[in-house]
Amino acid sequence: MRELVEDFGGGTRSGRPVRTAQVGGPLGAYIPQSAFDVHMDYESLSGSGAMLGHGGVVVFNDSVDMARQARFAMEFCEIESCGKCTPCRIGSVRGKETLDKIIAGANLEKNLAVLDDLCVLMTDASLCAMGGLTPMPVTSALKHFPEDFGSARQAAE
Amino acid sequence: MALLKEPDLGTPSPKSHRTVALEIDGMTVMAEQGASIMRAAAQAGVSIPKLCATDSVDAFGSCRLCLVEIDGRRGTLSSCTTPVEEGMVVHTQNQRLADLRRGVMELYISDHPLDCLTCSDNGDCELQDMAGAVGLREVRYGYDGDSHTALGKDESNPYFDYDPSKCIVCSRCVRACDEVQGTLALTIEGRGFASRVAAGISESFFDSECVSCGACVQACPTATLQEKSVVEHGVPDRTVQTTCAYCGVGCSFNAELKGDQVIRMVPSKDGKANQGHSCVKGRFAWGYATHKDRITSPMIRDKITDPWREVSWEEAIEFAAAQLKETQEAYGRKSIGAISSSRCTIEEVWAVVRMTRTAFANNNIDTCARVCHSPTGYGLKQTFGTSAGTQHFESVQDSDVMLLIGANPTDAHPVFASQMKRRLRQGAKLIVADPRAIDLVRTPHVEAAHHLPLLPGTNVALVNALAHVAATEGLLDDEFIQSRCEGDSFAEWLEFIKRDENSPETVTAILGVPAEDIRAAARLYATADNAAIYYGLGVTEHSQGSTMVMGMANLAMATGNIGRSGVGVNPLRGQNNVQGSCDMGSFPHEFSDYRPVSDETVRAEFEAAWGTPQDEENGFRIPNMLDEACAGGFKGLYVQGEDIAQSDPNTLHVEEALRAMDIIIVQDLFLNETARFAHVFLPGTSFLEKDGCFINAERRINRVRPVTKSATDKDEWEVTQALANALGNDKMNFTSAAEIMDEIAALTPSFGGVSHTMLDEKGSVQWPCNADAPEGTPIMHVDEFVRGKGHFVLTEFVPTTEKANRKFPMLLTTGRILSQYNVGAQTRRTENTQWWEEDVLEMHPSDAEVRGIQDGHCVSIRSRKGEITLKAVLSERMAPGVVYTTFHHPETGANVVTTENSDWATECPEYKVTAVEVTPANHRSAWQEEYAASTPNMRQVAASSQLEPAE
Ligand code: SF4
Ligand code: SF4
Ligand code: SF4
Ligand code: SF4
Ligand code: FES
Repeated sequence: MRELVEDFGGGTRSGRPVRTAQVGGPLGAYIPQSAFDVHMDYESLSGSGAMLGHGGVVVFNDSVDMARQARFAMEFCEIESCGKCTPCRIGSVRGKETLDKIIAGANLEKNLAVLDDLCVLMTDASLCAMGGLTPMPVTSALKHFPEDFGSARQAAE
Repeated sequence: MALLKEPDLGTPSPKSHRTVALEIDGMTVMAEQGASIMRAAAQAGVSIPKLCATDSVDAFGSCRLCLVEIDGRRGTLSSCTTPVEEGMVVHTQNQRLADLRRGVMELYISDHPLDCLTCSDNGDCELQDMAGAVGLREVRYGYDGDSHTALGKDESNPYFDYDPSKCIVCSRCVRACDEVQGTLALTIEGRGFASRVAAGISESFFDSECVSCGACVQACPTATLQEKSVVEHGVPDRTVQTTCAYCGVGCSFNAELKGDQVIRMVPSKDGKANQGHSCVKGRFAWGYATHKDRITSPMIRDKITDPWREVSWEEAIEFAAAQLKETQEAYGRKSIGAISSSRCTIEEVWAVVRMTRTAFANNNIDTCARVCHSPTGYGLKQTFGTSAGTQHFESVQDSDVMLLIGANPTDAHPVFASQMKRRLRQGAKLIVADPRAIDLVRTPHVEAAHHLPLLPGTNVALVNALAHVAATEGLLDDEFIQSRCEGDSFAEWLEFIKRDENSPETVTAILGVPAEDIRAAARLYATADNAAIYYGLGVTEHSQGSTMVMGMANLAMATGNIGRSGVGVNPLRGQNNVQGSCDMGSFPHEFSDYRPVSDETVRAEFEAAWGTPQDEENGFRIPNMLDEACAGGFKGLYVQGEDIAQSDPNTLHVEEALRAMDIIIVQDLFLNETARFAHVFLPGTSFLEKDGCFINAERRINRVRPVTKSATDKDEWEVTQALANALGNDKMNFTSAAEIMDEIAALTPSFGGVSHTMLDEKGSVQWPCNADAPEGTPIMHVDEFVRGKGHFVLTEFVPTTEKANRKFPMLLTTGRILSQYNVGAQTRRTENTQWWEEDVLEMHPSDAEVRGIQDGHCVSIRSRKGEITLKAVLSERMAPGVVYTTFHHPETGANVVTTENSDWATECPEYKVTAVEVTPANHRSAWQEEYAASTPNMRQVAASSQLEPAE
């Protein structure tokens, strides 16, 4: 993957350092730059908590705000949800709202816990992969970039 | 009993006979193959939380509350959509599942008004139940996020509200409308979080395709779709199981009450006729029972121009008895008679029949079946040996082809229509023979393979042509004919039917239907594995009604479509108890079980039981009574719950007959049209007050139970009994309806095994139910016909004498619509009038154009008998040359124009064919003017002494 991003792709367009890449579409996981030494195949990616999905790779430079990216995933789900099952229909809206609260620094500890639970719920209980995979970008962002969510974020702002 | 909550197994039965064994929470469970894990668990007593599943519709898998874990399978699966498998090991409860379920409920409640305490569904809400079941304690999202809680209600339907703020988008309503009712009026509009239930394309419920059957209301787990009566009065607290008093489907209902007030009628899932479904009439239109027009005290008067006087029961009975006796003394034993009601219970009918045969000492007893299905009785008796339909309703689920003739089930037998539609959506084929393009010809997800828009009055030519094709193209079932039918009558019939006069090419000109369509329909019917005939009054109410019934019986026998599930010849009988009133012997020529009065052995049985000699001579049929009245020989009539002045043909003649009588006793809920001519009014009881049985179109004996106490303080049979006893001659001493049923059982072989106790245990049975068939008989003529071998009858087509000509160039045919019922005495006194305020005349635009008539214009319709004025509605449903109306409103007087032309065998009137001319009009007809002017006087009730102010 590093070969793909850095050699074939030539790094970021702006030339700023690469921070992460989302692989497999809007519901794919964010892979931090440090973990780019992975083969671009189904097994290897799913072994590192990501997925190949439709194969697309979107590279982000170091100016990216991963909490906003997580919010984007929930918003994407809200827009795309067919509305049949509850976890996806209501969960995506509540996920977006909870991330708004997190971005605003409100009740961080509680809201991060709520978001965690919601991600488990959407993953395990959604009817189809739309709601089921939406947590993937969210949890990968949380896992690899906690500084964008926690109190560190507020300090930085 | 307390409020009955019918068990909900979550998903429907897969109807499989195989079972599989699996383990659920450590228990070994046997389940039907194909059943969901949810259903198997529920049957084993394990209730898995659920919201989108209910056992009236297929599983959907959307709420995600019912997740379970299955050994060897990844993740969590919805138990409603996952079928059981042999050896499966299922876990329904653990921490992970509990967390998921709580998570789902937390989401639901985050978009739900916190209204429970003031909500109409409080205490009867599955959302509440589930919040409790999963232990939801907190909604951590708060309530300031996006929500639907501010959406406004749709209160347009007169019987239920739609409150989208409480909707959890489980789709149960949408699926109920699709799968149970088959109207497909509902959809989920929008997508994602914006999803909301919508009727039609953003229409109000009232303006949409919705037919107000209530299936969605029933299916809704929350207060979103809620009966207005529950909104107004609160959740009911006790249940009485009973039977609908409208049509011959005979739906079972749970009447739900609060104290002694009926709050709602909910169709019972264990009702074998309706299986949990209902139509707008039974479900909602029962408010007439407490309508202000209802009369609850007996009344008498000397002349029909006098105002009515309220009197005591004793005085009314004495007065009636004295008048009847006087009449018989002056004009002879046969100068009085009775008409029993198909709206009353069999026990009440029995009392009237017995009174006629004992106290009146004659056979002048007839019933309203005379004007509807008497040809069915005659025709099926001749061919098969019994006067009733061959199948149970459930049978239609095995039909591959349905031939529907002269019936409009979506309007007249709505719950059965839903069952037909379910089968048609599964791929069964439909042939419709009807002058009108009824709904079933083309309705969402159902389209008839053939619509044969034959001219009114040509049924027999059609059925002969169908049989001709089967006979000449080698499509007969020789084996069935050989083993089950008479050889000689078949041979004769075969020779007749093969004649060229019966070929489609010959009759096409008579029918107005292309020969190739007739051939194609015949082939479809005759080659089906299971082909069933369903028919209605469009068959019987003709001069050749009986011939047509026999023609259909011939066709069914010749193609081997009798004696198993999915086939048969099935009358869709009109009234709730018309089958029963016939079974009880409400006929001038037959005792119960259709045994002739001329049969000495039968007479002897009744003489022994009743202690009075039985007349061996046939009595008068209704038309004879009326003719004799005009001639001066018939002078007294007891009419139980039937309104002959509105429902019988040629109103002018009926009115003349009624005016000519000296004593008319009407037993009814309301001062109906016939009561305008009556001298004694005996207030009757509504079905909500009755105790007894109704028998539906599939011969099913259903219990009717008193839901509220009698508004008149008496049961109807008690009143009849009092009158019979007052006349002398009989000493009826029944103390309960159950005792009457015991007498019926003792004197009626097909009912030998029936009693109220037995019915209360079994729910319902279909007669014959006796020592030979202790569980009743869902399908008749299985191994042999009731008469032994099936009998073929030659059914030559003889055109009716009621013909169109230059002066009367069009043919009028009549029918009914969904929201109104027959003479409308009940439905006109409910909110159903919002759907149908007046009778109108449907006509084809081309007929209208040549007459200068526009949609909504007043038109005069004139026949050889009379003239009325009503509003024209232009409709392509009509074939050119044919017009259509209903007779729900007395002031219209639809029967002023119909004739007393009638079936040759049974005198069932030919309502379906009247030659008429239609012209623009600008005033009411003479009869309508006269009706409006005279009726108020004829209905006057004197201010009663009880109503005078106290000192
Ligand atoms: S629908 Fe149910 S949960 Fe909603 S407010 Fe009413 S009772 Fe409460
Ligand atoms: S109206 Fe009722 S049944 Fe229909 S989706 Fe909403 S909650 Fe479910
Ligand atoms: S009342 Fe019946 S027809 Fe109307 S929307 Fe509900 S289910 Fe459909
Ligand atoms: S009118 Fe007929 S179909 Fe409708 S609820 Fe009553 S019995 Fe059932
Ligand atoms: S009950 Fe199974 S998903 Fe709703």
